[in-house]
Amino acid sequence: MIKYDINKIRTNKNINFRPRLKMDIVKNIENMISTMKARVEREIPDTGYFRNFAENFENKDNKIFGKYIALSIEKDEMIDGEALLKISVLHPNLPVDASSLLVAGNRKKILDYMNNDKFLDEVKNSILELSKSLKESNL
Amino acid sequence: MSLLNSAKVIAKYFTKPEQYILVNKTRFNLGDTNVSLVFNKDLDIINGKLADDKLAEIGTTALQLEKDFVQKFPDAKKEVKDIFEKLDTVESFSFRPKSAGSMETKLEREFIAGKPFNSFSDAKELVRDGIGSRIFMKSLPELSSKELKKMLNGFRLNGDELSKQDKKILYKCVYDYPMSLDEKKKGFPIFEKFVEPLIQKQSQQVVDEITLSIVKNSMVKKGLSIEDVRAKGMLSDVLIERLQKEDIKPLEFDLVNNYRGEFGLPVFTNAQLQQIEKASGGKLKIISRPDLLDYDKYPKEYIEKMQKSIRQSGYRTAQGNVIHKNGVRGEFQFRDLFTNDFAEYEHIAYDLRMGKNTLGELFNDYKREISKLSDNKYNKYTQYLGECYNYYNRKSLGLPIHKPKLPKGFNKILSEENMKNLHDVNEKRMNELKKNFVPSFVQVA
Repeated sequence: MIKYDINKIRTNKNINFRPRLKMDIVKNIENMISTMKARVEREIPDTGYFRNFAENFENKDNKIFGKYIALSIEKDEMIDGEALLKISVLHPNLPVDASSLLVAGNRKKILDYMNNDKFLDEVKNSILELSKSLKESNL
Repeated sequence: MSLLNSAKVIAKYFTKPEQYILVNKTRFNLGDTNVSLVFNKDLDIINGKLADDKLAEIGTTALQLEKDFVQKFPDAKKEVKDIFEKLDTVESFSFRPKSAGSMETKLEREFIAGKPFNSFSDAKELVRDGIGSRIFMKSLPELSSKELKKMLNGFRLNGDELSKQDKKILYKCVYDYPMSLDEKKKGFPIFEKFVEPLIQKQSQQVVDEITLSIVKNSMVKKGLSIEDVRAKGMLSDVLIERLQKEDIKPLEFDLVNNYRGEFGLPVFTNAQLQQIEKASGGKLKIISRPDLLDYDKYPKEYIEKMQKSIRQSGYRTAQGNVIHKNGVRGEFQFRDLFTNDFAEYEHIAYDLRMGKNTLGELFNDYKREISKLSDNKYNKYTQYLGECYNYYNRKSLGLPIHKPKLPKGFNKILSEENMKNLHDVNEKRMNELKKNFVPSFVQVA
């Protein structure tokens, strides 16, 4: 019978871990989320027109293939009082970005989603995924 | 490989009457799909053209790809019909596997641009639209003046009533009255909002099917659950219900373009594009929402450069890149038949200007006139063609229209009516030639 030493198997060499983001960028993401939460609270009305808005920061982490990272709120064109919360990464050299929908709904639904404990991790993972998709797009 | 090279026979392969590509007949006959080409500008460009031996390798791969696409064509066609044929707003379809001639042109362009060409699958990736499907949506009936008046009276922009001045400009847009450039710039965004209900009437069924197929694909391939769809707000309740009750066919989309000209209406509205984007979880690249470039998502200098899908020629189509169930890449185009008929011949001016010369002698007078135009005059001519696009588009939406006239100072041969006439005569002639035509080789070296 072959015996495995589980401690030896679970090393970085054997398991393909997601790259970890540097503390600086995590701080930037946290700040961006916090500013966006305040803006969502303030700028999305119950009904009627509102302007799209976004928060971004310049990326300095070389693990991320992207020049800027942005959280944005786009008005839902079909449903009054609703919006889309998206995370986007801008290509380092080209005017092209990749985006991912985080949640769509009214102000309360978006804020509840942003206040969830898992939200920060979802944003971090989405940024890594988007960075990978931009890198692999061969643009 | 060296044995093969020494025995290499380059031949002309006639893909259509009067149109051929160069092919390495030896490799083609052996069924050898191995190909690895490296572009060397100094050696490969002779008298401004790609050397015959490289062209022949590209041509061979194009021919092999055509064979592959022809084989996969019936299943892909059925897949499209299964999704869209049931809709009562869809009028008809057209399908084609991409021809070897067209692929050779595309591969040559990509090769010269330095794209990797080290295998058959590299070439397949470069082609992208192996199967083309056009889905034609029905035109709407002409709006009566009573209907138009009702629409105008009930129109609100972002919930607000229009100012007197905006009302006046909108009226001019709706009735297609002459306007200054400033008036057009101011009036067009209002007009676009005004027309949205008509565009939705024409294309909403199609958009809903695309939306559902995208979500179904994520459920089948990525394990997305109905609970996820609900939690993220990806679909409306009505579409969730359909997703649960109906046999929705999954389809993988990877890009949507919504081309239109300046002051041209889109095929899908911004709201419809957003519906598709939501269904994809935001992952689908949508190139076409100039309205989203007006806020500071990124610093201004980047936003200004982002693609807007505005075509100078007025070219108007919504298209999506898809991967069919059998793995072949395809392209869907959605438009109405009026626009499609015009698009069949509108591009000849651009092609000639770009140096493409696939047109027969019949077009010689037209070609001469196009090459005589200064850049300034050519831009004016393109503007005229853009207005023709808008004319056919408005016609398909049932809006009031005036047919654009060829501007003064241009030879009548350049008129849209003459282009159509030349195209029709040429089509008739080609159809005659095709009757007894069999694709075949003619040896050259």
